[in-house]
Amino acid sequence: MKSSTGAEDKSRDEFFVLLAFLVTSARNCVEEPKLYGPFRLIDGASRLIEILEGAGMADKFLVAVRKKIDDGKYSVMGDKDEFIKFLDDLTLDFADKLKSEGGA
Amino acid sequence: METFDAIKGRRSVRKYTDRKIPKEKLEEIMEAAVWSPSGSNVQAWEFIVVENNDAIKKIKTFSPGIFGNPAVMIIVCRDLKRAYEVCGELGRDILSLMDISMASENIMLAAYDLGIGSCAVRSFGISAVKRLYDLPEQINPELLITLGYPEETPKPPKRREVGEVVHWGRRQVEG
Repeated sequence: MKSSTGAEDKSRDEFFVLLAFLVTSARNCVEEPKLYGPFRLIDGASRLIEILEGAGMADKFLVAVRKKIDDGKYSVMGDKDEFIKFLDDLTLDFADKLKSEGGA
Repeated sequence: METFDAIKGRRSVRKYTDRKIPKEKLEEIMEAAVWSPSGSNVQAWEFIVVENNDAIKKIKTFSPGIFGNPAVMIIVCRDLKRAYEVCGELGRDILSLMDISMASENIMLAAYDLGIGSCAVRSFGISAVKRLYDLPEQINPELLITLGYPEETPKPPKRREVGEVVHWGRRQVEG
């Protein structure tokens, strides 16, 4: 049997935490405010990028996306319109990235 | 610190420094909790103060609403059996929730008075925390309060105007 390396153990732990976050979020979204659904999804995206960064798998684009998410995500607490605009901007960032790479 | 300054100055802190909170300060904060008002004086509350980093990490794993790395976490619980025995369904379903809410505010104001930031969090896995701490059926974790020295203090959030929500003598608006 192949023995796991320290890096693999670290990744497994990080993915376990991410999955627990997703599962608990899914349960809590049953009762929480509607806007918390998108908030948990976008926060989950940030957490995933953080893991990729740690593994050296995130490019400049993803690092910038994570920073943008972390700077803007709390707008959900106070300004619905600002939060929706923030989500729109992020979506467009991904579309622009795909376009610039000759996709779509 | 003046009480009113604490009420207006407290914020929900989501970024903490690594600084530990001295035990005597925590004891002072928890003393404030037990002096909050309680319907029929039932005091159907219990508080689990978690200071160990690994234990905090485990709770965080099941708490999508917790951000940053708090030095301490308080699990605010209701004792449903105690509440029901004294005040019946009203006590179990309503008064005990009001009581722990008032106790939580005392905790956060006392913390602020000592220069410690806090954040009340309901977005956590209640069943997971209950399982992690082997809590009996009647003890329900309802709220997590994170504590720590603030690295960043948020700006004051928008508040509804006093004139919009306070009615002097009688409510005059329709609907």
